[in-house]
Amino acid sequence: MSDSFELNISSSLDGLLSTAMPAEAPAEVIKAVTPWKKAIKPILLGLLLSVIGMEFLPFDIPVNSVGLIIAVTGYERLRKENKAFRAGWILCLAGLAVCFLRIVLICFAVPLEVSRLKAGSVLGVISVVIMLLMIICLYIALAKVKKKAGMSINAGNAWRVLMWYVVLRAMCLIFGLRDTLNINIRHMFVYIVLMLCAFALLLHALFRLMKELEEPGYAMELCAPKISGKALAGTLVAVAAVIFAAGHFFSTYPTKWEQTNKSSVPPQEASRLAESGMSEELISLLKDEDLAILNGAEIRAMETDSSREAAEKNIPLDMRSFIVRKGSDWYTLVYFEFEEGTEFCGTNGLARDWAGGMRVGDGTIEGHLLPDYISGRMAYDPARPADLVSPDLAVDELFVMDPNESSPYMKYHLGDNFAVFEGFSVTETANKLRGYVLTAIDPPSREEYSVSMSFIKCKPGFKPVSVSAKEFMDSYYKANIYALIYQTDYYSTADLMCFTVYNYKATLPVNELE
Amino acid sequence: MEDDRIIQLIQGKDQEGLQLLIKHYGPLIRYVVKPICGSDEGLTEDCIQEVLSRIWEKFQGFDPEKGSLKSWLTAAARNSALNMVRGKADHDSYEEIPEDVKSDSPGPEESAIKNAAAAAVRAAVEKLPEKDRLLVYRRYYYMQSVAQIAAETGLSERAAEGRLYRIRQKLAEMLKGYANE
Repeated sequence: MSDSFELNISSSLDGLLSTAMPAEAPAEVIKAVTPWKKAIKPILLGLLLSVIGMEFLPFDIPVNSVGLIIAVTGYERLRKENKAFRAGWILCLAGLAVCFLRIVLICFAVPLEVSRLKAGSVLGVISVVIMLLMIICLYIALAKVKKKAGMSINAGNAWRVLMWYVVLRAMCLIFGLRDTLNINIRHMFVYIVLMLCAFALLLHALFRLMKELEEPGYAMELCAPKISGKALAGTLVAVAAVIFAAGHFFSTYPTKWEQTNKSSVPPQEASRLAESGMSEELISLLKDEDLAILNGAEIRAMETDSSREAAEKNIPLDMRSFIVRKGSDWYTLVYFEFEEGTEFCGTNGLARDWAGGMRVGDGTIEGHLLPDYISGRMAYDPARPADLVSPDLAVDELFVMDPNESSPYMKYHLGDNFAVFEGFSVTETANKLRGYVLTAIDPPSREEYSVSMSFIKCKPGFKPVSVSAKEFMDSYYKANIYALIYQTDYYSTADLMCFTVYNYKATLPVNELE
Repeated sequence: MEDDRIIQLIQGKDQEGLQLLIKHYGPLIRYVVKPICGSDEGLTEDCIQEVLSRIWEKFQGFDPEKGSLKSWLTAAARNSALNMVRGKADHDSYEEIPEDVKSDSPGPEESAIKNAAAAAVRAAVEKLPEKDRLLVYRRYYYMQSVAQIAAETGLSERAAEGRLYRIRQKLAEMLKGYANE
């Protein structure tokens, strides 16, 4: 028997397999062999991931992208089933393109004008619209499948998916505006629970949608993908990874440093400024218009409280603060030196930073105000970057930004304080940097003012910038005046996602000048 | 619930039961029959009619205790379609048979060999990993084309063909061992 049987196997295994199959297939085979499950599951899973990511968790763009990559592997096979599936496939590809553009914005140093604040939010809105259209197309596509299967065209659960998606999206939008809407933390907790409930209902609707397809799904006809789902997903993930790596390692910020000579301060004025406690380095750095303000003004050096420095083990930094009174005008002047580069990964420094200010009185926000005067400079020696004293300097001017742009972060926890935000370029090439900020303040209404200076070092990571900004403001809300080297008009979100704050504080005894 | 109603109505020879069955399981029957009938639309339609008429006639043989209605319908649709396609093939290739030709029906020994071979193949298929087993069922039970398998499993046609080739090799190896015993 064995010889003939072996011969039979080698000669016509196909025929043998066909005839040897049992009359009735096992139940698990019957359950698993369907035309639609393997294609619809990725679509529904993709939609689900896209919803989870939207402003609800920190990883919105990566999760959204992964969701769409999974969905596109399903749509690719259903694109010939009907026109609505084809439209869904095209929308899914468009959504993926938008996601990739958003990843480019995250990973590359791009001008602020086209970055997250503007282009990013436009792309965000486009991706929401695409998602909504995708769900509508899914509804139409499933209704067509049911019609093809000779069943009622009511696609009830597809409608439920659409409804819960819209509800959840609206809730995400409100969640994103929680600061603007002044929703307190207790209400926010209830809100998050409600969002989770809406998400659970969406999940339930998707599950019911799957069940609803159990029989009409057999009418679907799929087309073979040109490359397998795994290969497609792997390729797209690899492309995203390449974009991220390219941005991280090769994207650079255009710096605005300019070569300049030391300012020539008249010897008499230089000596008067030196007597008030200003160092030679500071005096040599002062701009002409700032010198004009200091000329004839009453200047008092302040003591720097370095307790925070010790506590937080920050970059080595020396800070000297002065209060300046010229007639009825009051100013603060903060000079700083630090010895360490900023270590911006993937960049060679920051371009122009920004400054802005706001005043909050009696707990009521009165509006966003820039100080009447704000000026400053940052410098290093390009020939000897480790040395502070040099006849030649590379300098960058302080840049003042529209404070309304920064208002969402600045509003937080300021109480009745006044804050000034300002910044410079920083460069990786120099070990020692020095700079100053001269800011007008209102005539002081209390005994003393505090000046604190915060330096932010950015490192790549996936911590969302908004949360960090809140944490930052939480930590430093007690200071009355902030001067901080902060964002730039060229930045990569990846750099800003995780940053460390360095804070120094000085007290200004106002009474001594009154 | 729907299944119970269909079973009850068809067992009671109520035409509404058949209507319900067509509405509910029509896509499944077509799905099973179509790959067996190939691209011949007319044959597919005839096959579906034949399947429905056989279901109507043989439904008394369905025992819900032994398996689901879906499994039974799948088997009924497959077997009817296979019979019909084989019958058609025989009819198409009909020629006048010379009187001295021996009968095609197998003898007792040949039948025993075939039965043993079938049992060995089934046992070998059961030993395959689940994913491979499903591919075997798709190809040799549902008679699906490589293109259809590729589309429904998300593999490229080339990948599906490769997988089936490797499974066949694995089965040949497993059955060779059995044969040498």
